[in-house]
Amino acid sequence: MLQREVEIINRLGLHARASARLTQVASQFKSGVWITRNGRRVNAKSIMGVMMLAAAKGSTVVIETEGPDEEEAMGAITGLFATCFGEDD
Amino acid sequence: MIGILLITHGTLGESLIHCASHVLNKRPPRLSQVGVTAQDDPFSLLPRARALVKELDEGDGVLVLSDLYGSSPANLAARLLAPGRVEGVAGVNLPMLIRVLTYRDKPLQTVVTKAVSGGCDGVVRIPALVVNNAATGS
Repeated sequence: MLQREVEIINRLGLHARASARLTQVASQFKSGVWITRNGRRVNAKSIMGVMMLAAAKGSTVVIETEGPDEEEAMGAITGLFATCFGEDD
Repeated sequence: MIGILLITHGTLGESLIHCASHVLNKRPPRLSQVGVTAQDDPFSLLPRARALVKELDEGDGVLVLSDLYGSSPANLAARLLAPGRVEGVAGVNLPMLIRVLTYRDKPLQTVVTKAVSGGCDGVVRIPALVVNNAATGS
C-alpha cells in the first residue's frame, strides 16, 4: 500500500467538478484509492464521498492506493492535485 | 443503463440536469425532465411523460425522480410507475441525482436504494470550520 500526503493548492479546493474529475481518474485503476482528511476516510472512486470531505484550499489530505497498479494510481492522483485538477488556478 | 426522468415543479428538473452536467463535465445520456408549472393541468402532461419513459428505457428500466412527495409533479410521477420496471423516488436534490448517475449501470433496485441514500447523505449541516477554511483560502 502506498500513502502520500498532499496539499490542496487550487483556489476552489476539492469542489464538485474537481471531485468528479478525481473520481473519474481514480476509477480507471484496479487498485483501491482512498482519501483521508481530518480522520474521515472515503473511497476516492465515490464522488459523493469525496465531496463530503469539503476540503478547501490549504487543507492537506492523505491519499492511499492499494492494488496491482497502486503506483500508477498514486502518480495519476497526486498529479491531479499538483495540476489543480486541470483548472486555471 | 437505467433511464432517468425528472418530474418537478417549474424549471427545477432542467436546472438539476444543468448542474449535474456541469459537475460531471458532460451531458449524461438518457436523462430527461418534465417541468410542471402553475398553468399546467398536471395530468395533461401524462402522455408526454409516458412517451419519455418509453424513450428512456433501453430495457433496464427507468427511475423517475420527483421533488415534493404528494405534490402534483410527484402525483404525476406515481402514475408512471410499474414496479420492477419504472420506479420512483421523491425528494430529488443534486446529491441524489449525481449518485444516481454514478450507479445507473447497476440494477434498478440498487439504483433506487442509492437514490434514497444519496439524497439523505447529501443533507449535511455545514461545520463552521469549512467556511473559515474557504475564507482564508481565497
